[in-house]
Amino acid sequence: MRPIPRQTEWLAAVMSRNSPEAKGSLTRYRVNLLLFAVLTAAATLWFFLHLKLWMEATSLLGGTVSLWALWKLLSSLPSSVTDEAGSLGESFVGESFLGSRAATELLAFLLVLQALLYATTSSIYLTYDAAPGPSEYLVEVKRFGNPYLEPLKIRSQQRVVGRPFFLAGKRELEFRIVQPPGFEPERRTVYPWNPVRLQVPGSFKSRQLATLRVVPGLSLLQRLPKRSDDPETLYSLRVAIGGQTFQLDDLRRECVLLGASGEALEWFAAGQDKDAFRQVLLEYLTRARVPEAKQAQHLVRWQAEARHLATSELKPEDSIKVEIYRAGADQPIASRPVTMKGGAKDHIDTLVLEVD
Amino acid sequence: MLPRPRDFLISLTLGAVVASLAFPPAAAGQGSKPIVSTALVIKAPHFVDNLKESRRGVETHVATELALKAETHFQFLSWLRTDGSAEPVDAELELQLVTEQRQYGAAVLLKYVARIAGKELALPQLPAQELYDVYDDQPSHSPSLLRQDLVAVVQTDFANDSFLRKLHKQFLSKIPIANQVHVHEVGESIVVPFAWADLQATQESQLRVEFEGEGPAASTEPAAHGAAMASLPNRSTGLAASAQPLRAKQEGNMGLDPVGEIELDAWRGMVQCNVAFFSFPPIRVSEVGWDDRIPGVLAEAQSLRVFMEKYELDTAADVRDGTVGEY
Repeated sequence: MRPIPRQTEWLAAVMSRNSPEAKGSLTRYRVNLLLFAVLTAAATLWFFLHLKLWMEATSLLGGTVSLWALWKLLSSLPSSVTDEAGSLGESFVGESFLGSRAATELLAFLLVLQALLYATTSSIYLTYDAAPGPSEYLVEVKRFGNPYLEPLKIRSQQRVVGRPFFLAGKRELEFRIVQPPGFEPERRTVYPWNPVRLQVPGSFKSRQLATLRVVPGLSLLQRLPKRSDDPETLYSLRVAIGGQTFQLDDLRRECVLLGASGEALEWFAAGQDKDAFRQVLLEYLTRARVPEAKQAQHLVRWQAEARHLATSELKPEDSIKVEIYRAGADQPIASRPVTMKGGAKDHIDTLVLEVD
Repeated sequence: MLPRPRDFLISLTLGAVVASLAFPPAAAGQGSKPIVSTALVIKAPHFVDNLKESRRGVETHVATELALKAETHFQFLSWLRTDGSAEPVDAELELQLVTEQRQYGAAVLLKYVARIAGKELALPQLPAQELYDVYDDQPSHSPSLLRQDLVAVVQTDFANDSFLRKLHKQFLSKIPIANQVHVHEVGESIVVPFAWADLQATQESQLRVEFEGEGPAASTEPAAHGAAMASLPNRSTGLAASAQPLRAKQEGNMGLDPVGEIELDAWRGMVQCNVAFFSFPPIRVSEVGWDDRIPGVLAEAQSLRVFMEKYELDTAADVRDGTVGEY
């Protein structure tokens, strides 16, 4: 009999193929292998659920280890053991350890730990929905109206964002796609053991918005100061929406975008309706008989970056009132009721406002 | 019934006639230039609303520029920028910034308004000119830009001979520079009590005298009319006919060619003029000359006023801006 490196009493017993200790150890070995396979699979699943960003690596590693454990389990079935009882004697230290009681205790402990981890780990992950549409979304997560996470930016090239939470309690969260606008907020209850998954934008109901671009007409331009002026007299724009009034101070010879939150307005401002807007302006200038040579300066001014007035969100058919006030005056110099039209996702209604 | 005879002899023996005005100009005193004030009044509502305090600065600056430019070309008048004081003036030249409402807004116009003795004159040849169209970048919040644009208009106008001629014809030639004349009978000339040095005019200039006097009544019978003609004073006799026929008030006028400064002590420094024409029916002098009846008519004249009918600046006396003008 050749010497066995790091031989233990247990190994010596195992090497005696007909001993009762050898048969008992084989059973423990099989049970431990099963426990190991279960532990590995559960760990892989936990990673899959809560550490989604590292899912591919953990799946590969965990899956490999689990498969190895299953393979060893199958290879230790009674037929092979009886036929090849000496095989154990040729195995390495790890295999020998799996046949020990200490291994059973360790695996049982790890399984309990795994169960605790499952019970106390929650996670929030957003996944880019590979559907035709914008390539980028900005999602706010709020709890009690306050930000719960930094705004999550999800792109077609960064398809998963989120993080796990340990020992976090039950939470009522509101998920809102702020860019692009046009989606209802989604509310979810997150339990301590709860993995929350949201498809963006698939998990959010869409809704139609209506935004308004107020363009100062020629008569109003005469009244308002230029951006470069240092005016003695200031003007303001007021919008009445429902019972609320929103005001933009120090209005200049510029367009104003309103009818949504600040982030939504930014998205609309960067939108694709520029050609349609230019067409509206050209038609107006033609109606006003502005010579072509003079049209360019107005187009440049109107198409420059618009001021944003964040308001409550407007929908098609909403009625609002737009007014321009001179500082200190009780009566507006321009006042116009507007019924919102809305349209395509990035459509902006245009109002060319003139002095009354 | 025949009118009461007039004693022309008395007036002729004086050697001069002083005709007084029934309605003298406010400050056209003997020897002094009439005062013409200049002003800019911003009336366009959006400029008034927006410029607030700086509006006064623009008005003052442009009014000063207007006075300077006018003085350069019309030195027989004393140009004064209106500074809000209550100093009486004979005439006013005002620029008004007004709006004209159009379909898509208000165009801003600049118009000259002229007043003599507080009464506004029509200036049909100087219509309002458009400063900003509806679609122009109107500097309603920028006093510096507005001032710059207005000064540019004033400078352009006063560099334009046509504009100057029209301004003179429609306004300045209607400002009385004197309300009396003296007849220099020996010299067969008229002396205007206005300092030659102040007139700054060449001999190509011409003065116009308007007056009212009593002439033969239109209803007078031919015989009486003939008598009236005979009754006008005659230098050769220095006497008037004893019988004066019917006399009715009528207007007369006289053109005067300034020839220079008179050297007689009594009127030293005043403007001596030849009579270019005289019209007081039936007396007519159509060329430079003299009629012995002129002193008599002027002695009786009422509401006499002297105007600068045609003005040619004497640049040799005082060259300013290198400009030579005839208006």
